[in-house]
Amino acid sequence: MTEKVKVRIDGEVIAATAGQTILEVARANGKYIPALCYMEGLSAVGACRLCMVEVSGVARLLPACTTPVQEGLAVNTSSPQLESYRKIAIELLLVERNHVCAVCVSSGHCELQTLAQDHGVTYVRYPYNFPRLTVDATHPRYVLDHNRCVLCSRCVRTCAEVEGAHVWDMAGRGIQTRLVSELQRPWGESTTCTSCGKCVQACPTGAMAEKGWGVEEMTKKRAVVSRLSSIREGQ
Amino acid sequence: MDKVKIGTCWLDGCSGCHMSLLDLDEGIVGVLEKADIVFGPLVDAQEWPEGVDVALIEGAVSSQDDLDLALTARERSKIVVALGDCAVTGNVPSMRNGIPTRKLLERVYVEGATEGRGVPTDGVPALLKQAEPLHSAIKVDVHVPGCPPKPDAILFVVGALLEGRMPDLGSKLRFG
Amino acid sequence: MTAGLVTAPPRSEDRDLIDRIIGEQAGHTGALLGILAKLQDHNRDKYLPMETLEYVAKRTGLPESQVYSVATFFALFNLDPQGKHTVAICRGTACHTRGSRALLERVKLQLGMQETGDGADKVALTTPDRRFTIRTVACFGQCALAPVAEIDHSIRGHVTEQALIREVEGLRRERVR
Repeated sequence: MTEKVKVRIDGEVIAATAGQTILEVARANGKYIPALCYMEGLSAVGACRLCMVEVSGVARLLPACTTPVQEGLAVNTSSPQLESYRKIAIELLLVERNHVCAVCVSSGHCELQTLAQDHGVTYVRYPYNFPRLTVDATHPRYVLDHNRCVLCSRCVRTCAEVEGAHVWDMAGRGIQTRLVSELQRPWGESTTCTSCGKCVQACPTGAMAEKGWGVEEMTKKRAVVSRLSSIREGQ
Repeated sequence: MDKVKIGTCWLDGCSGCHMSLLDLDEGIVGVLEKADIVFGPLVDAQEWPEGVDVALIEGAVSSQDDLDLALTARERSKIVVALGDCAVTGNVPSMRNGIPTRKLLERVYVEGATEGRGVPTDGVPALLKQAEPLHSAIKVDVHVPGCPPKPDAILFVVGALLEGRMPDLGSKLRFG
Repeated sequence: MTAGLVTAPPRSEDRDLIDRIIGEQAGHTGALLGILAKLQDHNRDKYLPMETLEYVAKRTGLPESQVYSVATFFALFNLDPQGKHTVAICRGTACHTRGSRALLERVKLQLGMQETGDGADKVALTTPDRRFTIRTVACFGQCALAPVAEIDHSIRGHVTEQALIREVEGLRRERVR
């Protein structure tokens, strides 16, 4: 059953279906809410905190990607406060790992780089973490560079939910969190990876890439993952 | 009216941002009508002069010399511009930051050398522990990301500063 | 942390134990947590060997990456063999301001442990003879007793360097007897 509800986004009354999230309704109606860990066709995890919005009657900010709409919900998608929080979130993502755009295969096609630009991040106010991280180039076709990983888990969800292999997951916690394949096996020695490459396409940065590309040359076909998921849902 | 005084320098960088500055082409003529370049690789001055209006600084702060020059430039300039990704983020020079300097120097000057092995102590500035963005060492007034920043962006920033305005870069520039 | 490559399957008696524990817990949501906790309890060195994790994944049908994720997320689980005695120093805010860093450094010095040097404040070190494991804890929730240390599951409040070293030395002498 699809119950219709009316919500207000930035003052505009919009018809939505109960169960949809604020982010889905906003995007379907051409409203911009930034997001990094959200990807159409995958479950939402609310990890990146970029899609935080103001909901009237709620004192704290809510992530648009995991908050379902309900009748009469009034949402504010932008304000000076939200903008300042989003900038902070982007800056913190930039200091956490070693994002050196100048030597990245995904430069020019990177969602983190684009978000920084869109939100006017011309420099980062926090000290860089400069962690020492590894690159896993053991897979014959793909490479994983932890320096560029933002822990959005889109690869994890793509592999688990779309491909059904669940090669990837997050190990550890806090600042020590790392993407791992299986029991921390090198990617190339994975026994469950089908080499389908959908994790690579889903990755918003240059953390996962096809081998053989130079700086700025790796473009991702992110829509493929979302489309596959929607085809499956329709079946 | 006196001309605006511009000083430029590069710290730990590749000079690419200065190349981009030269790539202003005829734009540089307009700049030079209003300004003099009083210090930098393009002119003869040996020391950062007093009373500079605009300092364009390329490169990360990576050695003791970088730090000294940055501090002098800051002290003697009204407005400091971090020009390009190395000055803004640390960029490529900062990729050494996970490695202790002693190991780094040994890798280059001992393991990597075929003759005259040994870490030099004279004639080269001491390496700092990490290559850091300029704003970690001195106050920076304008950040111009890009590797290198496009000539248009440099002209936009310098143009605004020459008119006595702070440039509003908004979403014009990206890292990389 | 132990490298991921699995070399040998668990011994058959271990397999029987794992099978039994999985059988007891099967069907529960979040059963994995209980399974891993029980397995670690049964392990002589209070840890989860890689072979065990691999076997648990195989028997439960859960992805290996998910088993590894759970085992590394919770501070409760160890992937390396633990010492006979565990000294846990609280590094929460209250304990920090009451000098828990000095306690930690002192006990490390006493047991001749080198700093791992990864810069993180989190510590989990075991002496080469596996007599002692020293670890840090985010907070015991006993802030009024700061600084707090836990020695073999018994919590001590208002710990001083002298008191801590006396206890550690007491445990160390046990070995001689």
